[in-house]
Amino acid sequence: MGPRAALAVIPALCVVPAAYAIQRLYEVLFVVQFDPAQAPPSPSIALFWRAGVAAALAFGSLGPLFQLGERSPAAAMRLAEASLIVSAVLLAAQALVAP
Amino acid sequence: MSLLALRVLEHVHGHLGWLTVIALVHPAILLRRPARRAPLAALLATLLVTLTASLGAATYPSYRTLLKQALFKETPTIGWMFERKEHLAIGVLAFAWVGLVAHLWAPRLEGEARVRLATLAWRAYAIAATFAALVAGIGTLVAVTTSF
Repeated sequence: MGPRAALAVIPALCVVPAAYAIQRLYEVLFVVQFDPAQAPPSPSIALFWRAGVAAALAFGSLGPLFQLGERSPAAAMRLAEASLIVSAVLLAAQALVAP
Repeated sequence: MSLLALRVLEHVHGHLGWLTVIALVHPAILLRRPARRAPLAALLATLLVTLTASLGAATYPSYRTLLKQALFKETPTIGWMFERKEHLAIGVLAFAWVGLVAHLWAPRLEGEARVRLATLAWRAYAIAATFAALVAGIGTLVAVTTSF
């Protein structure tokens, strides 16, 4: 893996927590939530689903991100730096306000 | 999985969680200067995060079926804290891997790009360590409240 591939892998890894947080925020805001004290847990584990969807999105973003790294390494570096901060803030905010 | 096995797994996961915090603080301190190299510390910390997360994922289905509802009935605040811990744990895993990739590949770049990628590695480990400390703290709080 070359250095430009690293500039694609980093934002792709940051897609995982960002996509996870967005999915959970969507659930809390737009999907009816059952009280965990009243409803027994469903057979499908939402956390694993969210993580799986986020991982699939991250994998899917690798191609375009790699192309960006080839075309404009400076832009790929800026995206890598920004994606770390944005995804961390997004996940922290989601964990705080929409557990 | 038997209750005894779950209890053992839960304790191992909890202790490894605090070791993970220490392991992540190590590269977060070492890599604050961009020129500093610490590939072994970064690799071992990231592998420990991955192992701890795997154990947590292995026990999570049993937590849902055996403990979650009772925990929310008795202490909903702690129940919601546990949910927060699970969300933040996803970040710990992802950001530790970001730190490792950035640290291992920074020397292959030149000049300013090399410094920026090294700084990104440090930031990623600092964020992962902060999230891991929160996760371990909340995990301990939950463990003293309920257990398998």
